[in-house]
Amino acid sequence: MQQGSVKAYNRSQTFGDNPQETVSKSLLEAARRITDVLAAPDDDDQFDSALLLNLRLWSMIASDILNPENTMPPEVKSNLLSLHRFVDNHTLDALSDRDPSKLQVLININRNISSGISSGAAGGEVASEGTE
Amino acid sequence: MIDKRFAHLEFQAKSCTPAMIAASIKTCGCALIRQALPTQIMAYLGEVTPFMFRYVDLRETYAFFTADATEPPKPFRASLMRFDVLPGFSDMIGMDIVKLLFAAIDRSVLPQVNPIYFAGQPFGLRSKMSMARRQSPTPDENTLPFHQDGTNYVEMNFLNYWIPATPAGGDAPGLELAPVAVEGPLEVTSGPSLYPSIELDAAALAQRFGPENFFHPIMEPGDVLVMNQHTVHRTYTPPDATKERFSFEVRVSAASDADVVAA
Repeated sequence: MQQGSVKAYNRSQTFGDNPQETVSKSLLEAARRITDVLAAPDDDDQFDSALLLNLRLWSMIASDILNPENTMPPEVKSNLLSLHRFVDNHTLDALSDRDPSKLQVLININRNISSGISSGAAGGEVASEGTE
Repeated sequence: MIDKRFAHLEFQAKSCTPAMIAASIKTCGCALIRQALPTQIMAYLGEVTPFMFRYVDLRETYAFFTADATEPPKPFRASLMRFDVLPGFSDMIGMDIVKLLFAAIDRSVLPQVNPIYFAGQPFGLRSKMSMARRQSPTPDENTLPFHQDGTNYVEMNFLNYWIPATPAGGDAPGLELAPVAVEGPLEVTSGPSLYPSIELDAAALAQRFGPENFFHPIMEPGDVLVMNQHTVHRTYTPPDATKERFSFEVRVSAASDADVVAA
Protein backbone atom coordinates (compact mmCIF):
# COMPACT_ATOMS: atom_id res chain seq x y z
CA MET A 1 0.00 0.00 0.00
CA GLN A 2 2.74 2.40 0.97
CA GLN A 3 4.70 2.18 -2.26
CA GLY A 4 1.62 2.49 -4.43
CA SER A 5 0.41 5.46 -2.46
CA VAL A 6 3.50 7.55 -2.58
CA LYS A 7 4.28 7.09 -6.23
CA ALA A 8 1.37 9.30 -7.00
CA TYR A 9 2.26 12.09 -4.62
CA ASN A 10 1.77 14.90 -7.06
CA ARG A 11 1.19 18.59 -7.26
CA SER A 12 0.84 19.90 -3.74
CA GLN A 13 -0.70 23.05 -2.30
CA THR A 14 1.28 22.83 0.90
CA PHE A 15 4.77 21.75 0.02
CA GLY A 16 5.94 24.20 -2.60
CA ASP A 17 7.36 23.71 -6.09
CA ASN A 18 8.87 20.32 -5.43
CA PRO A 19 6.48 18.72 -2.96
CA GLN A 20 7.84 15.20 -3.41
CA GLU A 21 11.30 16.21 -2.34
CA THR A 22 10.03 18.36 0.52
CA VAL A 23 7.78 15.63 1.86
CA SER A 24 10.41 12.96 1.40
CA LYS A 25 13.06 14.92 3.29
CA SER A 26 10.61 15.90 6.01
CA LEU A 27 9.57 12.31 6.59
CA LEU A 28 13.20 11.25 6.81
CA GLU A 29 13.98 14.03 9.24
CA ALA A 30 11.02 13.08 11.41
CA ALA A 31 12.18 9.44 11.30
CA ARG A 32 15.68 10.53 12.31
CA ARG A 33 14.37 12.43 15.30
CA ILE A 34 12.25 9.49 16.42
CA THR A 35 15.33 7.28 16.07
CA ASP A 36 17.17 9.67 18.38
CA VAL A 37 14.43 9.14 20.93
CA LEU A 38 15.22 5.43 20.98
CA ALA A 39 18.73 6.30 22.09
CA ALA A 40 17.45 8.40 24.99
CA PRO A 41 13.90 7.24 25.76
CA ASP A 42 13.84 8.94 29.17
CA ASP A 43 14.28 12.40 27.69
CA ASP A 44 10.64 13.50 27.86
CA ASP A 45 11.14 16.75 25.94
CA GLN A 46 12.83 14.97 23.06
CA PHE A 47 10.17 12.26 23.09
CA ASP A 48 7.35 14.81 22.91
CA SER A 49 9.13 16.97 20.37
CA ALA A 50 9.90 14.17 17.92
CA LEU A 51 6.48 12.56 18.01
CA LEU A 52 4.57 15.83 17.85
CA LEU A 53 6.66 16.87 14.85
CA ASN A 54 5.67 13.63 13.15
CA LEU A 55 2.00 14.17 14.02
CA ARG A 56 2.05 17.68 12.58
CA LEU A 57 3.87 16.56 9.45
CA TRP A 58 1.32 13.82 8.78
CA SER A 59 -1.51 16.27 9.45
CA MET A 60 -0.06 18.56 6.78
CA ILE A 61 0.23 15.67 4.37
CA ALA A 62 -3.39 14.66 5.04
CA SER A 63 -4.54 18.25 4.70
CA ASP A 64 -2.76 18.48 1.35
CA ILE A 65 -4.35 15.26 0.15
CA LEU A 66 -7.79 16.57 1.08
CA ASN A 67 -7.28 19.77 -0.87
CA PRO A 68 -9.78 19.71 -3.75
CA GLU A 69 -7.04 20.81 -6.15
CA ASN A 70 -4.91 17.78 -5.35
CA THR A 71 -5.14 15.56 -8.44
CA MET A 72 -3.90 12.37 -6.85
CA PRO A 73 -6.00 9.32 -7.80
CA PRO A 74 -8.79 8.64 -5.28
CA GLU A 75 -7.49 5.19 -4.29
CA VAL A 76 -4.06 6.63 -3.55
CA LYS A 77 -5.60 9.39 -1.48
CA SER A 78 -7.60 6.80 0.39
CA ASN A 79 -4.52 4.69 1.11
CA LEU A 80 -2.49 7.62 2.34
CA LEU A 81 -5.33 8.84 4.51
CA SER A 82 -5.64 5.37 6.03
CA LEU A 83 -1.95 5.46 6.73
CA HIS A 84 -2.33 8.92 8.25
CA ARG A 85 -5.07 7.62 10.53
CA PHE A 86 -2.84 4.78 11.67
CA VAL A 87 0.11 7.10 12.28
CA ASP A 88 -2.13 9.52 14.16
CA ASN A 89 -3.58 6.88 16.48
CA HIS A 90 -0.31 5.08 16.97
CA THR A 91 1.61 8.27 17.72
CA LEU A 92 -0.95 9.43 20.26
CA ASP A 93 -0.79 6.01 21.88
CA ALA A 94 2.98 6.20 22.05
CA LEU A 95 2.84 9.71 23.51
CA SER A 96 0.35 8.63 26.15
CA ASP A 97 2.00 5.35 27.06
CA ARG A 98 5.60 6.61 26.81
CA ASP A 99 6.40 3.32 25.17
CA PRO A 100 9.56 3.35 23.03
CA SER A 101 8.66 -0.06 21.58
CA LYS A 102 5.89 1.67 19.64
CA LEU A 103 8.29 3.95 17.79
CA GLN A 104 9.98 1.60 15.34
CA VAL A 105 6.85 1.19 13.23
CA LEU A 106 6.60 4.97 12.85
CA ILE A 107 10.22 5.14 11.79
CA ASN A 108 9.67 2.37 9.24
CA ILE A 109 6.58 4.01 7.77
CA ASN A 110 8.30 7.33 7.34
CA ARG A 111 11.37 5.75 5.75
CA ASN A 112 9.30 3.64 3.38
CA ILE A 113 7.11 6.49 2.28
CA SER A 114 10.11 8.76 1.89
CA SER A 115 11.94 6.16 -0.14
CA GLY A 116 8.92 5.59 -2.35
CA ILE A 117 8.49 9.28 -2.99
CA SER A 118 12.18 9.71 -3.79
CA SER A 119 12.36 6.80 -6.17
CA GLY A 120 9.12 7.81 -7.80
CA ALA A 121 10.26 11.36 -8.29
CA ALA A 122 13.67 10.27 -9.56
CA GLY A 123 12.19 7.82 -12.03
CA GLY A 124 9.48 10.13 -13.21
CA GLU A 125 6.76 7.87 -11.82
CA VAL A 126 5.26 10.57 -9.72
CA ALA A 127 4.84 12.83 -12.69
CA SER A 128 3.46 10.14 -14.95
CA GLU A 129 1.01 8.75 -12.44
CA GLY A 130 -0.20 11.79 -10.70
CA THR A 131 0.21 14.95 -12.71
CA GLU A 132 -2.49 16.29 -14.93
CA MET B 1 3.09 38.46 35.21
CA ILE B 2 2.45 37.83 38.89
CA ASP B 3 0.03 39.94 40.87
CA LYS B 4 1.98 40.35 44.12
CA ARG B 5 -1.18 40.26 46.20
CA PHE B 6 -1.65 36.68 45.08
CA ALA B 7 1.96 35.55 44.76
CA HIS B 8 1.47 33.12 47.63
CA LEU B 9 -0.97 31.17 45.46
CA GLU B 10 1.52 30.59 42.66
CA PHE B 11 3.96 27.70 42.47
CA GLN B 12 6.56 26.70 39.93
CA ALA B 13 6.13 23.02 39.21
CA LYS B 14 9.86 22.37 39.20
CA SER B 15 10.55 23.95 42.56
CA CYS B 16 7.49 23.27 44.66
CA THR B 17 6.51 20.24 46.67
CA PRO B 18 3.18 18.39 46.60
CA ALA B 19 2.71 19.28 50.27
CA MET B 20 2.97 23.00 49.51
CA ILE B 21 0.26 22.70 46.86
CA ALA B 22 -2.02 20.63 49.08
CA ALA B 23 -1.59 23.15 51.90
CA SER B 24 -2.49 26.04 49.61
CA ILE B 25 -5.67 24.29 48.49
CA LYS B 26 -6.60 23.59 52.11
CA THR B 27 -5.93 27.11 53.35
CA CYS B 28 -6.76 29.26 50.30
CA GLY B 29 -9.06 27.02 48.30
CA CYS B 30 -6.70 26.97 45.36
CA ALA B 31 -3.17 26.68 44.00
CA LEU B 32 -1.87 27.90 40.67
CA ILE B 33 0.91 25.64 39.40
CA ARG B 34 2.98 27.13 36.61
CA GLN B 35 4.25 24.75 33.92
CA ALA B 36 2.75 21.78 35.71
CA LEU B 37 2.01 19.90 32.50
CA PRO B 38 4.40 19.20 29.60
CA THR B 39 4.25 22.35 27.52
CA GLN B 40 4.70 20.66 24.14
CA ILE B 41 1.82 18.28 24.78
CA MET B 42 -0.39 21.12 25.97
CA ALA B 43 0.51 23.21 22.92
CA TYR B 44 -0.57 20.31 20.73
CA LEU B 45 -3.83 19.90 22.66
CA GLY B 46 -4.38 23.63 22.18
CA GLU B 47 -4.06 23.12 18.42
CA VAL B 48 -6.41 20.17 18.13
CA THR B 49 -9.08 20.89 20.73
CA PRO B 50 -10.73 23.63 18.63
CA PHE B 51 -11.16 21.10 15.83
CA MET B 52 -12.97 18.77 18.20
CA PHE B 53 -15.46 21.55 18.90
CA ARG B 54 -15.81 22.46 15.22
CA TYR B 55 -16.51 18.83 14.50
CA VAL B 56 -19.22 18.65 17.13
CA ASP B 57 -20.72 21.91 15.85
CA LEU B 58 -20.88 20.47 12.36
CA ARG B 59 -22.36 17.23 13.63
CA GLU B 60 -25.05 19.11 15.56
CA THR B 61 -25.87 21.29 12.58
CA TYR B 62 -25.99 18.30 10.27
CA ALA B 63 -28.28 16.48 12.71
CA PHE B 64 -30.61 19.48 12.70
CA PHE B 65 -30.84 19.69 8.94
CA THR B 66 -31.28 15.96 8.44
CA ALA B 67 -33.73 15.32 11.28
CA ASP B 68 -37.22 16.60 11.73
CA ALA B 69 -36.05 18.91 14.50
CA THR B 70 -38.17 21.75 15.71
CA GLU B 71 -35.44 23.81 17.31
CA PRO B 72 -32.27 25.08 15.66
CA PRO B 73 -28.98 23.78 17.04
CA LYS B 74 -27.82 25.78 19.99
CA PRO B 75 -24.58 27.64 19.40
CA PHE B 76 -21.67 26.42 21.44
CA ARG B 77 -23.56 23.35 22.52
CA ALA B 78 -20.22 21.62 22.27
CA SER B 79 -19.02 23.48 25.30
CA LEU B 80 -21.36 21.34 27.34
CA MET B 81 -19.96 18.19 25.83
CA ARG B 82 -18.35 16.08 28.47
CA PHE B 83 -15.48 13.89 27.54
CA ASP B 84 -16.24 10.59 29.03
CA VAL B 85 -14.03 7.55 28.99
CA LEU B 86 -17.10 5.35 29.15
CA PRO B 87 -18.91 4.12 26.04
CA GLY B 88 -21.21 6.76 24.69
CA PHE B 89 -18.55 9.20 23.75
CA SER B 90 -17.85 8.06 20.25
CA ASP B 91 -15.67 10.85 18.98
CA MET B 92 -12.33 9.14 18.38
CA ILE B 93 -10.35 12.34 18.17
CA GLY B 94 -11.88 13.36 21.47
CA MET B 95 -10.86 10.09 23.05
CA ASP B 96 -7.31 10.61 21.85
CA ILE B 97 -7.30 14.05 23.39
CA VAL B 98 -8.60 12.73 26.69
CA LYS B 99 -6.02 9.97 26.79
CA LEU B 100 -3.17 12.33 26.03
CA LEU B 101 -4.39 14.84 28.60
CA PHE B 102 -4.66 12.19 31.30
CA ALA B 103 -1.18 10.92 30.42
CA ALA B 104 0.17 14.47 30.75
CA ILE B 105 -1.46 14.78 34.17
CA ASP B 106 0.07 11.46 35.21
CA ARG B 107 3.52 12.84 34.43
CA SER B 108 2.96 15.94 36.56
CA VAL B 109 3.12 16.74 40.26
CA LEU B 110 -0.67 16.52 40.53
CA PRO B 111 -0.96 12.79 41.32
CA GLN B 112 1.43 13.37 44.22
CA VAL B 113 -0.79 16.09 45.62
CA ASN B 114 -3.87 13.89 45.80
CA PRO B 115 -2.81 11.47 48.57
CA ILE B 116 -1.79 14.42 50.73
CA TYR B 117 -4.93 16.42 50.05
CA PHE B 118 -7.26 13.46 50.52
CA ALA B 119 -5.30 12.50 53.64
CA GLY B 120 -4.93 8.82 53.00
CA GLN B 121 -8.42 8.29 51.56
CA PRO B 122 -8.48 6.50 48.23
CA PHE B 123 -9.18 8.87 45.37
CA GLY B 124 -9.87 8.65 41.68
CA LEU B 125 -10.33 10.58 38.51
CA ARG B 126 -13.99 11.30 37.93
CA SER B 127 -14.48 11.06 34.22
CA LYS B 128 -18.16 11.95 34.02
CA MET B 129 -17.54 15.25 35.77
CA SER B 130 -14.60 16.14 33.56
CA MET B 131 -15.05 18.15 30.41
CA ALA B 132 -13.63 20.32 27.69
CA ARG B 133 -14.95 23.86 27.49
CA ARG B 134 -14.95 26.62 24.91
CA GLN B 135 -15.45 30.21 25.94
CA SER B 136 -16.23 33.10 23.63
CA PRO B 137 -14.35 36.40 24.08
CA THR B 138 -17.66 38.18 24.46
CA PRO B 139 -19.95 37.23 27.32
CA ASP B 140 -22.67 34.78 26.30
CA GLU B 141 -24.82 32.10 27.86
CA ASN B 142 -21.72 30.02 28.58
CA THR B 143 -20.19 32.76 30.70
CA LEU B 144 -20.59 31.23 34.13
CA PRO B 145 -21.44 33.46 37.09
CA PHE B 146 -19.89 33.03 40.54
CA HIS B 147 -20.54 29.53 41.74
CA GLN B 148 -19.08 26.60 43.64
CA ASP B 149 -18.57 23.33 41.79
CA GLY B 150 -19.84 21.40 44.79
CA THR B 151 -23.23 23.11 45.09
CA ASN B 152 -24.98 20.19 43.49
CA TYR B 153 -22.63 17.57 44.93
CA VAL B 154 -22.91 18.32 48.62
CA GLU B 155 -21.61 14.98 49.86
CA MET B 156 -18.68 14.86 47.50
CA ASN B 157 -15.09 15.80 48.30
CA PHE B 158 -13.26 16.67 45.11
CA LEU B 159 -10.66 18.77 43.32
CA ASN B 160 -10.98 20.53 40.00
CA TYR B 161 -7.87 20.78 37.81
CA TRP B 162 -8.64 23.79 35.64
CA ILE B 163 -6.37 23.45 32.62
CA PRO B 164 -6.19 25.98 29.79
CA ALA B 165 -5.51 24.44 26.39
CA THR B 166 -5.02 27.94 24.97
CA PRO B 167 -3.91 31.17 26.71
CA ALA B 168 -6.44 32.37 29.25
CA GLY B 169 -7.05 35.53 31.24
CA GLY B 170 -5.13 37.93 28.95
CA ASP B 171 -6.63 38.37 25.50
CA ALA B 172 -9.00 35.45 26.06
CA PRO B 173 -11.40 34.62 28.87
CA GLY B 174 -9.97 33.16 32.04
CA LEU B 175 -11.18 32.43 35.50
CA GLU B 176 -11.79 34.66 38.51
CA LEU B 177 -11.90 33.26 42.01
CA ALA B 178 -11.95 34.11 45.67
CA PRO B 179 -8.73 32.60 47.06
CA VAL B 180 -10.25 31.80 50.39
CA ALA B 181 -11.03 28.46 51.99
CA VAL B 182 -14.80 28.12 52.17
CA GLU B 183 -16.13 25.37 54.38
CA GLY B 184 -19.34 24.49 52.62
CA PRO B 185 -21.90 25.49 50.02
CA LEU B 186 -23.04 29.11 50.08
CA GLU B 187 -26.58 30.20 49.45
CA VAL B 188 -27.45 30.65 45.79
CA THR B 189 -28.89 33.93 44.60
CA SER B 190 -32.60 34.54 44.84
CA GLY B 191 -32.50 36.99 41.94
CA PRO B 192 -33.02 36.24 38.25
CA SER B 193 -30.34 33.96 36.81
CA LEU B 194 -29.50 31.83 33.82
CA TYR B 195 -28.03 29.41 36.36
CA PRO B 196 -30.51 29.53 39.25
CA SER B 197 -29.28 26.30 40.83
CA ILE B 198 -25.69 27.43 41.24
CA GLU B 199 -25.33 31.22 40.87
CA LEU B 200 -24.09 33.08 43.93
CA ASP B 201 -24.90 36.72 44.59
CA ALA B 202 -21.91 38.74 43.32
CA ALA B 203 -22.66 41.73 45.55
CA ALA B 204 -22.86 39.52 48.63
CA LEU B 205 -19.55 37.88 47.70
CA ALA B 206 -17.86 41.26 47.21
CA GLN B 207 -19.04 42.24 50.65
CA ARG B 208 -17.90 38.96 52.16
CA PHE B 209 -14.44 38.72 50.58
CA GLY B 210 -13.73 42.36 49.64
CA PRO B 211 -14.08 43.42 46.00
CA GLU B 212 -10.30 43.75 45.57
CA ASN B 213 -9.61 40.21 46.72
CA PHE B 214 -10.67 38.33 43.62
CA PHE B 215 -7.90 36.67 41.68
CA HIS B 216 -7.97 36.40 37.89
CA PRO B 217 -4.63 35.01 36.75
CA ILE B 218 -3.22 35.07 33.25
CA MET B 219 -2.48 31.47 32.37
CA GLU B 220 -0.63 29.67 29.60
CA PRO B 221 -1.03 26.10 28.36
CA GLY B 222 0.86 23.94 30.85
CA ASP B 223 -0.36 25.90 33.87
CA VAL B 224 -2.96 24.30 36.12
CA LEU B 225 -5.26 25.97 38.62
CA VAL B 226 -6.39 23.53 41.29
CA MET B 227 -9.53 24.34 43.26
CA ASN B 228 -11.67 22.34 45.65
CA GLN B 229 -15.41 21.85 45.50
CA HIS B 230 -16.18 24.93 47.60
CA THR B 231 -13.90 27.45 45.88
CA VAL B 232 -15.96 30.42 44.64
CA HIS B 233 -15.19 31.18 41.01
CA ARG B 234 -16.62 32.36 37.70
CA THR B 235 -15.69 32.94 34.09
CA TYR B 236 -13.58 36.08 33.80
CA THR B 237 -13.81 38.05 30.56
CA PRO B 238 -10.94 40.54 30.29
CA PRO B 239 -12.01 43.93 28.89
CA ASP B 240 -9.76 43.52 25.84
CA ALA B 241 -10.51 39.87 25.15
CA THR B 242 -10.56 39.07 21.44
CA LYS B 243 -9.87 35.33 21.34
CA GLU B 244 -11.72 32.16 22.20
CA ARG B 245 -10.43 30.09 25.05
CA PHE B 246 -10.38 26.32 25.20
CA SER B 247 -9.86 24.58 28.49
CA PHE B 248 -10.28 21.31 30.33
CA GLU B 249 -11.74 20.63 33.72
CA VAL B 250 -10.63 17.38 35.25
CA ARG B 251 -12.10 16.35 38.56
CA VAL B 252 -10.60 14.00 41.10
CA SER B 253 -12.69 12.85 44.01
CA ALA B 254 -12.53 10.66 47.06
CA ALA B 255 -13.10 7.11 45.93
CA SER B 256 -16.09 6.50 48.16
CA ASP B 257 -18.05 8.00 45.28
CA ALA B 258 -19.20 5.79 42.44
CA ASP B 259 -17.89 6.21 38.91
CA VAL B 260 -14.26 6.47 39.81
CA VAL B 261 -12.47 5.02 36.85
CA ALA B 262 -8.78 5.66 37.40
CA ALA B 263 -6.49 6.33 40.30
